[in-house]
Amino acid sequence: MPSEMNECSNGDITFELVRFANRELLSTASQRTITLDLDTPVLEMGILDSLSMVSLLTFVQTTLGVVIPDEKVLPENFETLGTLADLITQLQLSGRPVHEGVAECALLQSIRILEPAGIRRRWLPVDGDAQIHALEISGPAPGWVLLPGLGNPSSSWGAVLKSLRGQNAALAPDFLGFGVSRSERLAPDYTAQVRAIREAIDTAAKPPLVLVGSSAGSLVAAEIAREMPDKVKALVITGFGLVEDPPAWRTMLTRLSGSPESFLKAAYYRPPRLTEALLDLFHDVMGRPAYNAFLEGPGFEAMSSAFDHLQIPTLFIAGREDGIISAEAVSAAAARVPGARIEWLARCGHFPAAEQPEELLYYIRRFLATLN
Amino acid sequence: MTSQEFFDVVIIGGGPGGSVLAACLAQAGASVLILEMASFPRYHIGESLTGMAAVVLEDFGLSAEMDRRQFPRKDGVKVIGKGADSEFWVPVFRPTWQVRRAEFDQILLDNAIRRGATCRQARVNGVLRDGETVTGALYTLDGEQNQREVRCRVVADASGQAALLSRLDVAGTLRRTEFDKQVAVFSQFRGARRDPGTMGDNTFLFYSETYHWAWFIPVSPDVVSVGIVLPGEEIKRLGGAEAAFRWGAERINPDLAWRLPGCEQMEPIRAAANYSYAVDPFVGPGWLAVGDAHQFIDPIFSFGVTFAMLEAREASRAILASLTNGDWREPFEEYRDFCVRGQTAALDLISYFWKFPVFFGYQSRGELRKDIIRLLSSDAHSKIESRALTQMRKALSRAAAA
Repeated sequence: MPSEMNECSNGDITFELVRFANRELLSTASQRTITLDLDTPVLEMGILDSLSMVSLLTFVQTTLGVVIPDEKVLPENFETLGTLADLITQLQLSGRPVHEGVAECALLQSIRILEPAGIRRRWLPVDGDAQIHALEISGPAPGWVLLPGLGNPSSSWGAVLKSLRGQNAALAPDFLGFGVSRSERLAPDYTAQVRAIREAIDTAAKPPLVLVGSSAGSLVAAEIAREMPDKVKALVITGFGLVEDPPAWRTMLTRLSGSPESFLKAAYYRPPRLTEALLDLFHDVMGRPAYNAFLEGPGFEAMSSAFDHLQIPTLFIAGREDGIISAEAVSAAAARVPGARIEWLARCGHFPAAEQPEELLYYIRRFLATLN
Repeated sequence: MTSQEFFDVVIIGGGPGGSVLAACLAQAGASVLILEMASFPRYHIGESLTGMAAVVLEDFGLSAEMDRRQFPRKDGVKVIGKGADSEFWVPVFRPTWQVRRAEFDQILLDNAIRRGATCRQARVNGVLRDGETVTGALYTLDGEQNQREVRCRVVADASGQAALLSRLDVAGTLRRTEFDKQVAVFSQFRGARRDPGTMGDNTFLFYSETYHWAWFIPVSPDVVSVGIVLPGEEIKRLGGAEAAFRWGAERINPDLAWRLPGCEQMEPIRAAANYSYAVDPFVGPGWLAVGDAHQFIDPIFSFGVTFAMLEAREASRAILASLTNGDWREPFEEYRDFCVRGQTAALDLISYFWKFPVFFGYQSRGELRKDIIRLLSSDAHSKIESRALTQMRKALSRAAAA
């Protein structure tokens, strides 16, 4: 097992928290006339709304290096910045893991934050010396296999896994070279990724399977569905389609990737705030050799034939506001698969698993019910 | 006066509470008379059922009829947050429907009659008593002048917001409770913009700020019920129901504003006070009350109709037990406790939603998800307190103490 946790720089929690809150939480003009201190009743005053809550939790996680588990997200802990600082100190003392590098810290935290919710981590040896890292929940069949978008970690399925827990088994692997999966090969190509994921599935997931892909992870999902049709009950494609002109699409993606703001704007209906930590994550992913390796050679070729010869019941779930994959591309892909269905999600972009996880689950369940 | 009539049970009101009660009792062999003031079918607000209503409907074998009428299937509730900056979806514990109440209430009333209940269009003027015990009702048939008398062993008040037994001083006084200042203004629209797919058939709630919200409830393939709920004084300030509706349709939430332009308003704007209230006591010797006749709560989670149906089913068990063993006290008090458990759970859930909307949204996706889904389906009457209720009650009492 790789060693993964060191000490995160601690800093002065209360100082950092108050500074962050004054800079980021005061959204309206009337709010900006006040100065928050440790005793300001932020909850009572309505300063904490659903958006500021998310940015506050992200800040605590990424900058202070402390995970606030679900069961501590209670009104009493958020009455003032003081009560929140007390909670954070308490969690730090109780030895919640923290880390030094901000990007890796954020990545690991995004994975570890799921553990208290009953989502286990697992290492699956594949391809000799490589190790696929996966999130896992147990439960009845069918087992769901959740493949992340290119560059996204297994934890991008976090909300889906939390809701699925207790209802079905599921496995969400990190691709080789992404998340925290380990590989000696720095830049595994698409073929190597498919092979590794198949191996991981053979080890850890019991058929019948429901394969769910996000974005380019859908390429791998479709490939595996094609290779082992008798083990796959259904294929679900989210945020992906048949790209008519792969070179042009690739150029667009490269251009977007050059500017995190534009990428987030294209990918999300409600883009997350571009914090320093998110920016670090973004650069970390783009800098990984596996990123480009996936989209070159066999991966690039797979794009135009991804949806051919599929004999599996297939559901496409597409955000109507997806700026990465067009509605035409989704319809074109569905037209290639006999009997495929498309469900469109309003106010949703490229990543339904992030923006509308419950809605995504709803449509997958409805689809599975029609197959029984 | 002609020779005196007798029924085991006289039910005041033929809405969902009265009809379900009548059907359960008649099915078990009791003789039942429903006295309903209105000529059915008649309009009523309250279109969204919750999951537990589907259980009652299925027991009566009415599920197929619900689908035949094309009542939109409700698989969940979408809450769109302030400024449409956030949204979350809570699946229902069990699929149910959103209904056109005129038709739905008729289906339930017909079901009661089919199972042997008698229904008359009549106004109830008073009760007969023997000492403390209620022993019958005085009523006037529609179109007649003279008052009639019917004797019975139990009078059940299912008169809805009229809360007749409270007004007749049989039940306790009606007291307003927590959310007592809201008014709803509403109408139905053809051709409003819905979300794509079956997601668009669900109940949508638009949140603005505390006690300012709107509903958007599909009731047929092309008609939606839209309601704006605001504090009463604000409706006044805005210049009445019509003006308040226009204001709310544009201002409550940008996503609601986007849905309505260009669609056909099918009826004038109506207004209803959402004044929450409770009647105590609501059971006694020879009488009990069901549904809105004893309590009304903030309709934000659409509990009203389903609660009335569940209470009716429970009341039928209590009444049958009292008819069998001749003693009302124990079964009626058990029924009362059942109602109080459910209503208290609903009130606490709603208080928590208004007081801590951020946490409600967060927790409905987190570890309290299952509990919250159950509660929202109106499965709220259990004697065992769920984890969600324990946590919410703790937070509410902390806030009250502060």
